Amino acid sequence: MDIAVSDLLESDRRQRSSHSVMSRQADGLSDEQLMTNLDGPEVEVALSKLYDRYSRTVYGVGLNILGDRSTVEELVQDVFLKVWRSSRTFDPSRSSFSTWLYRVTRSAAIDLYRKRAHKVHPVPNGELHVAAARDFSEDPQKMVDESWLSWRVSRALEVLDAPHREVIELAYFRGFSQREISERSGMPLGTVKSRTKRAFERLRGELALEDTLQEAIR
Amino acid sequence: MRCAEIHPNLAAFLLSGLEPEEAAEVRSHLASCLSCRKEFEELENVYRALQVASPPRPLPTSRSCLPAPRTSPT
Repeated sequence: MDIAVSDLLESDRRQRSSHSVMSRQADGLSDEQLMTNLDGPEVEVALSKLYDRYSRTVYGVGLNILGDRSTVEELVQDVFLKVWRSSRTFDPSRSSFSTWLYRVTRSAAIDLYRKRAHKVHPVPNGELHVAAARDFSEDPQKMVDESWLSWRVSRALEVLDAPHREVIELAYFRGFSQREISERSGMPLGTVKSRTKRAFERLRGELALEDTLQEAIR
Repeated sequence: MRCAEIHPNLAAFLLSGLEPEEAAEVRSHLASCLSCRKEFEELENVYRALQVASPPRPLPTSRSCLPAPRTSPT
């Protein structure tokens, strides 16, 4: 019995170790290579990596279109299910993975938006209300433009290194002053300021790079 | 103030993250310096782009929302 248990533990350890090696190897793969791996035995690792790289962006754009967190959770699930099931429809010679995924996300978000727009929910006081989806009915192009910009900004934030992303999160999204960030983080005030400026410059560079890539694939 | 002293403060100024006296110095410098104003306008474009982004959310620790792997045909 002891032998059987130790065999099981050893087998489990090997499995975990092999999964962790595969996961580390996948870190170095491009999005497009991971898409190819969705068709092979390393599907789980490939999908997890794509999820790590893009789920925040999908969520952010979903929130921009749908404005409702619970529907956005559903959207993230739908989108990665589509990535997995429709991986063969992705053609890297026609667009980057990021652009393809943006289209998948937008289409899934519009589907959910339409469903939600017609759905009424009972609330505890007995009244009915329509879920808090944003109203783009008068200007659908605005939704397309905003969601694409939101996607690009989110991707640009995602590729910033952690120290620069952190100052943007604290200064922009949480509204802390430079002095407050310095006090919270223990970083000298001058470093906080120069890092904030550098983060803006990097975002500017990333957004410009995205523009160039988009021009190239049009 | 010289441009070299103003430059590191430009992004923080946009984010309203400076102390009032620092913000006043930047404002007054921008009113008279074309090159810093140009730099400021570039950063302003990034700021405007950030306005459409949603606040970042941490990655969920669980992968339960990912589909189970496809079973390969035997």
